Amino acid sequence: MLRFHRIHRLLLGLLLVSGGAVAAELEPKALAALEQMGSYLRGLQQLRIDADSRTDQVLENGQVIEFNHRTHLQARRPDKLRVQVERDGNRRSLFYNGQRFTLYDSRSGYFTEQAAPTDIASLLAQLSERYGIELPLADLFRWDANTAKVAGLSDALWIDQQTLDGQVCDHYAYRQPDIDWQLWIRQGPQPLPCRLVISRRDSAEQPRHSVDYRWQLDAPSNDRDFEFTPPAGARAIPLAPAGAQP
Amino acid sequence: MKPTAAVLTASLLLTLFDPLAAQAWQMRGGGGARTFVVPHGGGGFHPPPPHPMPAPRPLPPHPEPHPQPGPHPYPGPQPHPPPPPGPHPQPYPGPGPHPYPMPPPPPPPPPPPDDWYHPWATAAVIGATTATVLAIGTRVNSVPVDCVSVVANGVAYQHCGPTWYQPHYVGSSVQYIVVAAPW
Repeated sequence: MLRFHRIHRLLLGLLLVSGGAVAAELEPKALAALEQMGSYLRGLQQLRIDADSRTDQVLENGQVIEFNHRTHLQARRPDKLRVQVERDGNRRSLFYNGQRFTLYDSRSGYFTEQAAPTDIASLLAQLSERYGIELPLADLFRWDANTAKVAGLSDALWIDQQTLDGQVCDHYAYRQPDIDWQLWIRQGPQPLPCRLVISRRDSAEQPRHSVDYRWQLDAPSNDRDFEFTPPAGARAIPLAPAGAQP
Repeated sequence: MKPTAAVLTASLLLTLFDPLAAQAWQMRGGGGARTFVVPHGGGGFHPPPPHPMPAPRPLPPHPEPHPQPGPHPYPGPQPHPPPPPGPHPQPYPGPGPHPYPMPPPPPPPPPPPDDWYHPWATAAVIGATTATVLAIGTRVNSVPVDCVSVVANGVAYQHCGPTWYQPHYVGSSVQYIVVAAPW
């Protein structure tokens, strides 16, 4: 009888513990950190990011394979942007000079050039709506008071603080439909992302994408940085509207 | 050097230098990591929240970057068997982004929003030799290495034996579509 009580108590305890772990928790501090970061990022007049990322792909047999990329993003308000994603010497780029945008793929040597709206925000909207193009690293710039709801955040937690690349960063964990993600944000007056890790929960292999950011906020930029000059042999091709059959 | 040895050496060299022949693996379509947190609202093929990813639909894993060889409807195994007769006339509810049943012609793979970090460069190649004849309208993510880049009437093509491809950007990636010969 005594043993029964003991087991009973143990089971009850386990139930309580697991119940506590399952309950969703949105810590105000972890939510506020996202908004502060987004608002700070949107207020920057110019910036450069060099980001190293590791992205999992899944083979048909289920094996997870990692691919590394280096992303360079340079922007100056209101109307200059350049993004380059490199892997193993191959480079894909977007140039925006305030009048036109160009996509270039060094592997194929093909580029496409299109008329563009007059500021970066309108460009991003047009790229997304008309062409189905989302820019890498643009994601965290969107974060405002509404985003937690749009994304469907169910959990937001402060984990600890860590020093990454010489910066002291707060480490947060978030959960939303299909993904778990972690974000490290620099402490102090410049709440910049230090590191981001996204894991898919909707796939048995839980492929991950992780990014380490290096920021330069005061590096001067030249107008020429945002102009595309076709390399020898590069050829222009059309850009298909999203959802259309070219 | 004996003729056999020469042939062996030659084929070994070909294997080494031909990346198409060297690749034995294929990625699972839609199987890769997600590279963004905020669901994308805009683009034509991005379903709205709460389904932020177009890729992980409830289909059996379906190899992505090798589109079907032809536009002809194939009577093969449908991805979804017809619903069993039952009290529920509509087992797949909702105005989801992927209506059932799937239309017969295989849709070309749309580039995912994770496009920038997808290793298209090493993705499987259909028609690995120029001798392969492909139906007009077939779309691929890369073309055989021995294709020739040609401009005809101001339009860029890849000319590969009997096959002509016209490159387009779809999203941020180049796709090649098989077209009729321009001359």
